Amino acid sequence: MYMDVTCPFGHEMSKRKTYKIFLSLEDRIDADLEFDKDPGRRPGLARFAVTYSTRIGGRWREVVRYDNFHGYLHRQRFWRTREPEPLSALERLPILDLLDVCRQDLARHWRRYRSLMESMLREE
Amino acid sequence: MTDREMRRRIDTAFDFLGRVAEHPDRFPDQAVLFLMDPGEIASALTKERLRILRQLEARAYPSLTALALSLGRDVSRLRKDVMALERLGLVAFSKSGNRLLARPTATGIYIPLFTGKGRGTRRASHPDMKPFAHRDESHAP
Repeated sequence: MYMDVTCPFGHEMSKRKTYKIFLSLEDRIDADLEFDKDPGRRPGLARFAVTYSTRIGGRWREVVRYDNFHGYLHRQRFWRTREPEPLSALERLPILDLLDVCRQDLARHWRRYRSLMESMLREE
Repeated sequence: MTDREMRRRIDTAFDFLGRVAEHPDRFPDQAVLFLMDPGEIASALTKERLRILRQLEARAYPSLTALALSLGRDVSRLRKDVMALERLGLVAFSKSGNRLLARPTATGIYIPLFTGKGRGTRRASHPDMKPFAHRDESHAP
């Protein structure tokens, strides 16, 4: 439960925020957010990495990651390869819109992504 | 879980991130969030498991036996609870000799009270916003 008040935690916010979000006992989103803190300006979201993981065979497995931490937006589909796929067509979007594109992709395809990861692990 | 319910939870997760992006000073730097229904949350975070987390946050214990003694609990039952907390990512283990040391991984647990409405409906008109291409969904590289 969070309280919607300013600075409820009694310290200055840091540049980086990390959240582990359980969608179920078997599905999780890990989010890393990094903020720019320019003096005199509100902190703005500068970089993010959002990873969907699922529990298969008693272990957490990363399934897909959306990430712009390395200076460009990319996606990693872990059942295929750990290599990042650059998503340069989306580079110009404001960062909140980028997050929303990631949300749409995951909401539409999570089941298929999970099932592809399960198939890959069965074949291993 | 139905596809619709999972989508709702994904929307809620991204809504939360959107709120953090807009007001970062209002949210903690690190947290574990549970977007499950109340029954699932109650079965995952029992009173005894919350006691364990508080105890681990308060001080370091040299072993699970020491932790069990401090809480007045049977070691094997406590071990099951600590394992369940590890599966939830709330506890991490390290080894010291043949002893298992547990430590909490987050300083807080959050249960958002809002549900996701799906920001996409508001932003979908942007000309560059289109779903990612999916030419090949096989898992072959």
